[in-house]
Amino acid sequence: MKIPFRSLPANKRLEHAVVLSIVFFLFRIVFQFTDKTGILIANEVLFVLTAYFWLLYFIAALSEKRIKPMSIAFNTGIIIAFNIFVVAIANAAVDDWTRFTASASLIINIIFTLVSFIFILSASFVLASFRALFLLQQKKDPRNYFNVMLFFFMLSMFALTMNSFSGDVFSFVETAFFIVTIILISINSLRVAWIAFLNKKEKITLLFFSILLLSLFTAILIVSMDSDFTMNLLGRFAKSLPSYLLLVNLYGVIYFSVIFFTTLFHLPTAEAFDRKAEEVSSLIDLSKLITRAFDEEELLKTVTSLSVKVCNSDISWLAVKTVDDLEIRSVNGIGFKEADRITGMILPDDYKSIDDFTEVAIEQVNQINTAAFVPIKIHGALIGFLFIAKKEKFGFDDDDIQSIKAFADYVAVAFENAELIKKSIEKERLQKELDVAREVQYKIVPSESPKHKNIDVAFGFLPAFEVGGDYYDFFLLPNDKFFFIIADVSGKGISAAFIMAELRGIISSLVSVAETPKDLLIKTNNILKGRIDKKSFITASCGLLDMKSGKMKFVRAGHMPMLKLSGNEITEYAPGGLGLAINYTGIFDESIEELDFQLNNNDIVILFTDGVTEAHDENLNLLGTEKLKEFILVNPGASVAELSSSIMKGISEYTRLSSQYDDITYVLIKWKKSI
Amino acid sequence: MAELTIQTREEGKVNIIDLSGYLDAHTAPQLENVFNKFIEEGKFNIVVSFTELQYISSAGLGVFMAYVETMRENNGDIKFTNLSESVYNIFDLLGFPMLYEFFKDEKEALAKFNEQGKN
Repeated sequence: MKIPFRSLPANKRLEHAVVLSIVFFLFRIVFQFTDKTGILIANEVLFVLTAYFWLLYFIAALSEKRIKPMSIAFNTGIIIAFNIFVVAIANAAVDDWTRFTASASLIINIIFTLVSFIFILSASFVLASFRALFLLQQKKDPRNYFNVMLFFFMLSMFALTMNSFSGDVFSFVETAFFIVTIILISINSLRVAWIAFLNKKEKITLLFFSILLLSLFTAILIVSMDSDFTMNLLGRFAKSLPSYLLLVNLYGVIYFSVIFFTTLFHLPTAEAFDRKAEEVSSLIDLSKLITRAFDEEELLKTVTSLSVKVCNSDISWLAVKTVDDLEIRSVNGIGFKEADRITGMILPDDYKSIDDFTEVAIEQVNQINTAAFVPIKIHGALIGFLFIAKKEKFGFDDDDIQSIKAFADYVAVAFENAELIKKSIEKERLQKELDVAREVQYKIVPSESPKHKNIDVAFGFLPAFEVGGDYYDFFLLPNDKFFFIIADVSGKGISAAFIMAELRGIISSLVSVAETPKDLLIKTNNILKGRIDKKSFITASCGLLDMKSGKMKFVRAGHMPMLKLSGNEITEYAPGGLGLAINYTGIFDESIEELDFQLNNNDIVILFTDGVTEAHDENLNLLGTEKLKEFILVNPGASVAELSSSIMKGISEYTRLSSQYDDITYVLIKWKKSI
Repeated sequence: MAELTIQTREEGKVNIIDLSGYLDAHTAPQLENVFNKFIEEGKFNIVVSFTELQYISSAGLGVFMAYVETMRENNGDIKFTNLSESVYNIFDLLGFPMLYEFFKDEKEALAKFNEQGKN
């Protein structure tokens, strides 16, 4: 059943109600003493419409915001109290209403009309309030029940009015409609599910409210029913008005009786209901936490504060397992030291085998009389214990135990999530670190070959994912001297990249002052003393070439041998030499052996790092120096650029099924005699 | 990733570490743990046997550099035995034989420790 004009928006409803009220008001003033049937019928129609549109407006107004049942009941109480006040004053002021109303002046009539309007508005507001309460916490849409009741309201009022026109001919019809309306009111009054959702405090308030409102409605029903004021003033205003008020007030009496008894019966369980509601809300809180477990400290704090709520305890603390002990990580309502002390008292030594909720009665430690703990486990592995404690002597009931056990499972999941997040952040951080390291490395090594008429230089540089710390550099010095170096810092990542950057600084500043390559390595080693971690070292090979004469000095500090391609013959040179940053006594200086060469025209010097020879295939077989020589000898007469691509191609074919583990670096220098 | 297996034995006052597999940046921490434990227990005479070791990287070499000083300060040493040719070449290229003692056979290394003990 749909009620008419239900699709009107709230402001339109108000507009209609106000316009109708004004029309009705003027109508009343003009036709004050007319007894013609047509006028009387028009009067009733105007009244019903006015009351209806005010009802429509109040319904809209009350459904606009989230309404609180308590405030609606409060407003209703105020309005009814005001109505009683008006009735009381009116009754006190006038003795004989029949005579008084019959001889009223225009001013008095206007006042009467306004008073009647107060009652119309009040009744419509109260009815709309009942409807709002009626719709609270309903799963299905029950509006039809209410609309059917309104329809019978109309029928009862209509029958009552008809009777007043035609004597009591329709008396039985009136009675029938009235009884049906009362039944409908009673049925609708039973929809008070919202009471269950109030907390204990609100229920107690509501209990007092319902007593008060019940009294108010009963009072107004008694003072207004059949009183002279009602019959003469309101009844004269509109024949249906007294019956409208009667029905609304009856509704109030029935409704608040039901509310009173329902609230009364709900009171004993109110506390339990509150607790359940709190448990549900704290579980919701925790499930939110699980998704926001970025801050470990916050997570720990929330676990203890929520566990107090969940199981009705006063105190809680959380002990997390460390390598071989338990550590108190979070407390609520107790200090860390105390929590630690009590943990020691109540937790058995073989706590690792505890599998379930365990309750312990203790004697007045810090006002605590009952304590319990529950293990927190991830995939069967113990990660800690959640402790709860109470000041009361009687321990935890089954509900508390069930709740805290379920809660412990949630906590375990939250911890696991936090751990996973931590790991993925760590992984990302490492990734960033590697990106920085690679960037540093690329900026340090030269990206272009040095240009000189007597040399052709080519190089290959392939940093590994985990940046290895390879370094190479070239310096064109005065007097046609050419210095070259290749080095490999042990270790990987950002630390290797930093050592490499430091090495480059040292080499760049020494290259113009060192007398010989040997001198340069000795000085470098001395500078590195104390600057490098004990575990780290650097291998390096370097040489100084006189580009005019082809004379070359070469030294090696723990690095891979140098290869020299002469025609189609490769010779390996590995003069003695300890790696850099291994030993800072004279042993290093003595170990460095400087070789002197005379290069021939088109001889090629080849330097490489162990990333080349230790590149491996899918079965972890290393590439080795012999394979490298093969790559070179494929085309011995080629330019350095062609040789370089031949080497790169050879390596990538060899390693195509495996991943690159270390930086791959090589340098090719061809000497060309001036003609 | 390639694995490293570490086993330890005691031969009188000397502790022997048997390495097999791959000693690189990823497996080096395992070996570090073994050395840390020896130092904690006051065991400073160490022989490392490389019979089964297939590969050693610069990070692996770094482990020995980090601990040899501590051993020597406590009148002990780390001595190396049973190196395959390829592994020895890596040590050799770096110049380790100038600083550490290498033996073909474990017994020689043990004998050297005992000899030092007499002095």
